[in-house]
Amino acid sequence: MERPAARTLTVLIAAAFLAACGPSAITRGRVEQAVAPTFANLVQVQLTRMGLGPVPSPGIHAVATCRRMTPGREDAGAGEWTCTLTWYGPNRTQLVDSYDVSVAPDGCYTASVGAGEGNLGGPTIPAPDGTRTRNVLYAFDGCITSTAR
Amino acid sequence: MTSRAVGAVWRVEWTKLGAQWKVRALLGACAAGPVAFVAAIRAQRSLPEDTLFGRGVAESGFATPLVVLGFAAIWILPVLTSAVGGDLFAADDRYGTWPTLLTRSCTRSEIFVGKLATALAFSSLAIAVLALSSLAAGVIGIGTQPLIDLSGTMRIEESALALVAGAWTSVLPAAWAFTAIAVFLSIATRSSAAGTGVPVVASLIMQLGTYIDGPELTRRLLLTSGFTAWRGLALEPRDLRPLVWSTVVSLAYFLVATGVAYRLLRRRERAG
Repeated sequence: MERPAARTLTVLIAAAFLAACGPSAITRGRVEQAVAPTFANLVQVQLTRMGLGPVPSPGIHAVATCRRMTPGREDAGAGEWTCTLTWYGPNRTQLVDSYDVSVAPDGCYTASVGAGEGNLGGPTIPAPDGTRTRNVLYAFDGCITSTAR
Repeated sequence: MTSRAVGAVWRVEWTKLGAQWKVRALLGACAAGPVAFVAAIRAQRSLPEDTLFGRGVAESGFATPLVVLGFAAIWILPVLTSAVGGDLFAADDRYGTWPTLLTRSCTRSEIFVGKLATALAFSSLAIAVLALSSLAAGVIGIGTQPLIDLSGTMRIEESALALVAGAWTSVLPAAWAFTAIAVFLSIATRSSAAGTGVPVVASLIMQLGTYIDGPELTRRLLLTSGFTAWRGLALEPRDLRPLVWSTVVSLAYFLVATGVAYRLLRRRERAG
């Protein structure tokens, strides 16, 4: 490779690495805004699967409060997060559940029911026909939207 | 440059491709791979839970093409998009057919456009075969039950099908950009190994770059972001910004690679 080309390539790679060292795009607000509505939608799915009447998503009023558990900053970055979800069940009782949320650098995450969490059940739930079906609230995947702040 | 001459180059290249076992094997693997995947899912109880839509793969056939796309973005698409493009020009160097080609009635520009169009068409064909095979395998093997998207919303048949179609279509600009890079390398190095191998290695390096937890802009400038931007379509409301970004970035890569490749070929003409 010619010298100017090699020099340009080196500068480009160095610039790319320096640019990559900037602040993470994954912030607490973005994680909370992604997890809460997804959870609310999945509650709807779960109720339908169990043969129970639907509750409008705004009626569930899910609010997430998240904190990053991976060493480093508590409010930004990929890694392990924990989210506490406050929401209203079908009979308007307030419920609190916690999730362990693993957020990848690309903004997609996996939320799993937190240790000791008893409200949301195990990996499967009984369906109206007597069989067992996947508990969509036990673990779910999602992605943070790029427009969230 | 005439379309008739470009068409002649196109027909010759497709005839040559049709005779290659490598091309037939690639297309065959694209058709058979998803069928084997669905058969494996049906035969066992564990699911590919570490992939987006992997949890729902046994519940809705529409999850299959999205799981395959998520996996293909890392390993398969870079190979499919550079397999033919990286070999088209280098093969003429390898077999010593350039002198014969240059004496035909086609100009260098017509040869370039004809070969580039062939490479782009093959990339598109391979992706289409993989997409349709995944969809068919999922729908026939699992069923057309509603799909739970990345916002936790249920998508019925029509909406799920639109998501699958949109997701697979969205990877085409990045795929064409990889093909253009492969064509450039094929001309620049005159080596099929470099033409087909370097884009795959570059793709893997870019994939590693996405594991760096940095600003969004850095990730969006990587060409491989075009293979994952479809995730925005699986959100409700749809997040189209990554898709627009990746399309613009792919276009930039495509134009630079094609422009440099064409210039190199013209220089070769003067040298010859």
